[in-house]
Amino acid sequence: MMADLEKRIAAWLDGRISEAESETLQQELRDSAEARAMFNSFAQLDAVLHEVADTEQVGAISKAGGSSISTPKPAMTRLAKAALALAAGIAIAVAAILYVQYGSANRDIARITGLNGGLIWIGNGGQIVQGPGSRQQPTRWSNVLNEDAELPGGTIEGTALDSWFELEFLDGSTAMIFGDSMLTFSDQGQKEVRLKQGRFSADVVPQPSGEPMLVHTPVADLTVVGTQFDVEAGPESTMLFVREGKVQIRRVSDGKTVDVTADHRVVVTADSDMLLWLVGPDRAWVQTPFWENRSTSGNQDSTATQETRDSDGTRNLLLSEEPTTLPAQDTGHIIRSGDVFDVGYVWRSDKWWAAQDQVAIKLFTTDNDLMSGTPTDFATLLSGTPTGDGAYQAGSGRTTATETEAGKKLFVAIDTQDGGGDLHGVARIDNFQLQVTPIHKSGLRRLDDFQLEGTPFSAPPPAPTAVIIIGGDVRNGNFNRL
Amino acid sequence: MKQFSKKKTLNDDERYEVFVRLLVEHEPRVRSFLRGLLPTWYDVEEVAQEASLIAWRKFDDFEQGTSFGGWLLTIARFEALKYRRRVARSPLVFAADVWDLLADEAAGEENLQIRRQHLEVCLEKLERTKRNLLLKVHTPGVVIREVAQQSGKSEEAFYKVIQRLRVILRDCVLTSIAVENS
Repeated sequence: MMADLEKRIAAWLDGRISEAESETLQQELRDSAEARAMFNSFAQLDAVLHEVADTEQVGAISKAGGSSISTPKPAMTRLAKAALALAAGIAIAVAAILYVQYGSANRDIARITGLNGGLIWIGNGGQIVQGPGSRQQPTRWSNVLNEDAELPGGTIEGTALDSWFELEFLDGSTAMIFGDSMLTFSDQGQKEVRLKQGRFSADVVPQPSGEPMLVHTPVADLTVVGTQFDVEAGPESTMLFVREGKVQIRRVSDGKTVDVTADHRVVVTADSDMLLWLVGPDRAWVQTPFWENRSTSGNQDSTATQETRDSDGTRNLLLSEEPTTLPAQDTGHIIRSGDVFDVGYVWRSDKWWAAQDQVAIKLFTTDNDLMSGTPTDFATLLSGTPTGDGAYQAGSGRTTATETEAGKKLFVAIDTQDGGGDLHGVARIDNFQLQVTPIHKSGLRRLDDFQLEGTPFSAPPPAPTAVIIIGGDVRNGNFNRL
Repeated sequence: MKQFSKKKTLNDDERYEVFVRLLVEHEPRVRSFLRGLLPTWYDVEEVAQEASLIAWRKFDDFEQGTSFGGWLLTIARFEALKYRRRVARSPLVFAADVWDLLADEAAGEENLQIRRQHLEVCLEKLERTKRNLLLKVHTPGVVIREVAQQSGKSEEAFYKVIQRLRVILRDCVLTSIAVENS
């Protein structure tokens, strides 16, 4: 019996226990103090073995069992290991001691090329440095992160939705994080970054042979030789989109590996099939029927829709606070007084979208019923502020037309309302729907209401029903039509 | 001098040093405690990192002269509980009642502590090849299944060998602790 218990404990510690065995083990632990003592002793033994093994054979950033690093590197002392762990935010102050012993490890490896919003950098030596937009109370040791400052590696944490941080390594490779993200970066001859959570984009120049850039997330390890890619990481999933070149991604839990080539994306979770999805190329306004760019620039060749960062596996509209972009449509609908317009869509914030920024759906008419005419807005329907978790959220609004708009053509624009932030934010919209319900004011007679003399009165008119003006494939509400 | 570095006062240096020394002293206990609650070393590293950061941020609240180890362990237990909620769907994660039992007992003062010096003595008693094999499968980043596949043995046979070595080592360590206590 004891041997069976030992076997189950070992299987649990090695991460290879079956669900049934786990249930049995848990029952044994519930029932028996002796079993718990045994479990505790093996867990402690595992921890100390791990510590000893870690000291004798260690990589640049220590990784847990199941990671991709399978070629241990030369031994380092525990303190040295702790110094590197510090860079990952593990033991902030250990490096203060090690700074003297391992000064060479403290060389600058990258330069800040841009930053915004609440940021905290934790680096070797235990400095806690906040960005200029940080809302947190500065500590006594705080200073301010600046553009062009050089860093020796460490952990950068975005603390607000509008936080972003751009870094350039000595070889010209660049990396960015956005929003509520945490990234640890190091370069001891081989770039290694660890995205604990959030969004990360990189443009990596070709790396030396045998020393690819390594990117670790909670569920996957990426090997990058030289390419452009975006990663979104959460505690249970990682999404990788490769814009150029090729990236190898490996699921930590079972070692399953796939090569992701340009214009493909893959989602890794514990039970995903890790299939590659082809992400179609960007489409310009001229390739996007019904919609046009009504901004002052009127540039119809700029990007209108993309397949990346989608809501449902299909194309979405790229919305920007840039004044050069304003998606709009001539709906063809002639407004009648009392028309009730309902708008619905899904949207998510993206790069540089600030916490108070909102999507603003504008319904308007023009002085000559042409898109090129002088516009008059009669309704602005705001989305509300973003959740900031990278998920799509619903937006909706309703307005009623008055006599002022009656008889004119309806136009709709998907605009933004700037709530702050230094840069023009980006958001994504999908599945836009605009419908009208003709509810007419009593006392105002329409042609349909007149009866021809001698004809019997018809039955009372049916309750008004909504008619979709834009939605799904109708007038390209899903942005997928070509 | 870098724009972002700031000359620290002597008091700050002292404060760093106090924290460093306390952390280095007590971190192994925390990791050992977490290992008995969290299913993978990845989880342990995550929570240990978070606990260390929080301890640093709250270091002003720590009352000098009281038990830093106990304080750090409390933070680690709380962080582990938060982490557990995120990974609770995994079959490797213990049910809440089992978790509480294990956490209570592992955090207790009376709980015996296997320390590195115990282990090193016992490791030296193993044959060199067995010692190296055992350390290899416990090296961070090494996947035990891959080592098993490379060993030329069946996975089942390989796990049995490793488990036998663990039992020998555990018995040796417990004996040396008992001798030490007597």
